[in-house]
Amino acid sequence: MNLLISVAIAITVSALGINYSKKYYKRKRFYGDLLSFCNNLKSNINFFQKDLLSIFEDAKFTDPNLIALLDITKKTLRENGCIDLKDWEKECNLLSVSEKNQIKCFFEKFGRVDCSTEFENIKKFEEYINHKIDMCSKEYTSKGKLYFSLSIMGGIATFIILL
Amino acid sequence: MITHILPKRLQEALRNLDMSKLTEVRLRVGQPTVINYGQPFYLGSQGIVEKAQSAIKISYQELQDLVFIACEYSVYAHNEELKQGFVTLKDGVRVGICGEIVFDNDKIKTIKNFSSVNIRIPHLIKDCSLNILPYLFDEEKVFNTLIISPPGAGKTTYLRDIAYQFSENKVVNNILIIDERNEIASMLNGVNQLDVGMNADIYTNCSKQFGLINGIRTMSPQIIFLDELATQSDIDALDYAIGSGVGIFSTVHSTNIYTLQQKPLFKELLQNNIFERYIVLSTRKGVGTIEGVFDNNYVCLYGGI
Repeated sequence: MNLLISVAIAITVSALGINYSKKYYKRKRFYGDLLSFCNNLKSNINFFQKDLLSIFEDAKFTDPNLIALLDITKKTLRENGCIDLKDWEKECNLLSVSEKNQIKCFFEKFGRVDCSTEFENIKKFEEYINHKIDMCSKEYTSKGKLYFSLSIMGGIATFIILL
Repeated sequence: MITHILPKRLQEALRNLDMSKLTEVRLRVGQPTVINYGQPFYLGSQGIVEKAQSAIKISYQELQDLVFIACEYSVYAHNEELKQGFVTLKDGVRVGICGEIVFDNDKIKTIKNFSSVNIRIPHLIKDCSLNILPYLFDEEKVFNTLIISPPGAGKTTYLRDIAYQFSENKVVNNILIIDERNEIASMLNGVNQLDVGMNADIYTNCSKQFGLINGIRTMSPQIIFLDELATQSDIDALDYAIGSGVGIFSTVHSTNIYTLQQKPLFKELLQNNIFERYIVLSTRKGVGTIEGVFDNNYVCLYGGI
């Protein structure tokens, strides 16, 4: 019985650690998908001149954080006639306050200027995302893998101590 | 019809009014809201009010949001219209926009920091032109006709109804409508929202020059309808069309034929008797008052004071 409990506690400790280490992977995936969305935006604005709501509705992504962001954008556009990301800011735990502010600032101003200015804004935002992806990759290789190893070791250590 | 673009408090205020009588809403940042409801009135939170102090005053941000919604949340997609100072909504409502004009190498790039809007609601009044219709054609031909009226007196409504009557009753086989601001037919996804009859071809959002020259070549119309002659290039394109033997129905802003003659742009046009009929409208007894139908010698054929 004691053995079983020790195994369970050790697995839980490892799982918690692994889950924390995954945060870096999730951030990288979020920014990767956001970059694809910006590419999508550029072509839709420049060539097809599609309206903003159609662009958001047609966007298909797998990252749950980006899906949540796009859903709130669509909802507030339809209900309030403007993009309001306060709710998303509260719900999103993946990003820091300054990161959320950058995204909020970009999204909330979106659709309010002419095509060339819009295009320039997207390009600048893409530069920011690319910088973030680089940072996330570094964090993932250094911190992510470190936390992953620590979690496994922590689990084993817990198991040995409890035993 | 227009309420979806308005701030919530204006939507509430308009709820108490008969929307079929509403022809115009004027909004200026920090100023009282004015509506045209048969005649100009201030709009308060519960409807029409007498004093300007009781009227709703729209904020800067509300006006920016209004234009944003009118552009279907996509200013970039409506920038060509915006550069001309208006946006047309799906149901033909025209939102005239004032603000800060941004230039790029002497060309208008866009408008920003919107300061006022004038929302004009079109009204389809079928058969409004029936009384004057017999004076616009005979057995041999359809007369080139110019509708003269001050802004907001119903010239586009008359032009639309004349187009409908000619098209629907097969006075001629093919008519072409050059709908530069999408006000005459309100085209949406290839379907006109305002009825202009079954024999009408429609160019939407295109210049008069393009419509007149290419329309004659490609669509072989017998009559062309176009709104608001205003520039020399409009007159030049009109000359080309009339020289091609096509009938023209158009409109112009003025109070009567004599004031129109004073405008250098139209002086020659009138002297050359290019138009054979003139319909003069006013708001004297309400929007769409027919002051008279005149021939090219300015003899009154119908109406008259």
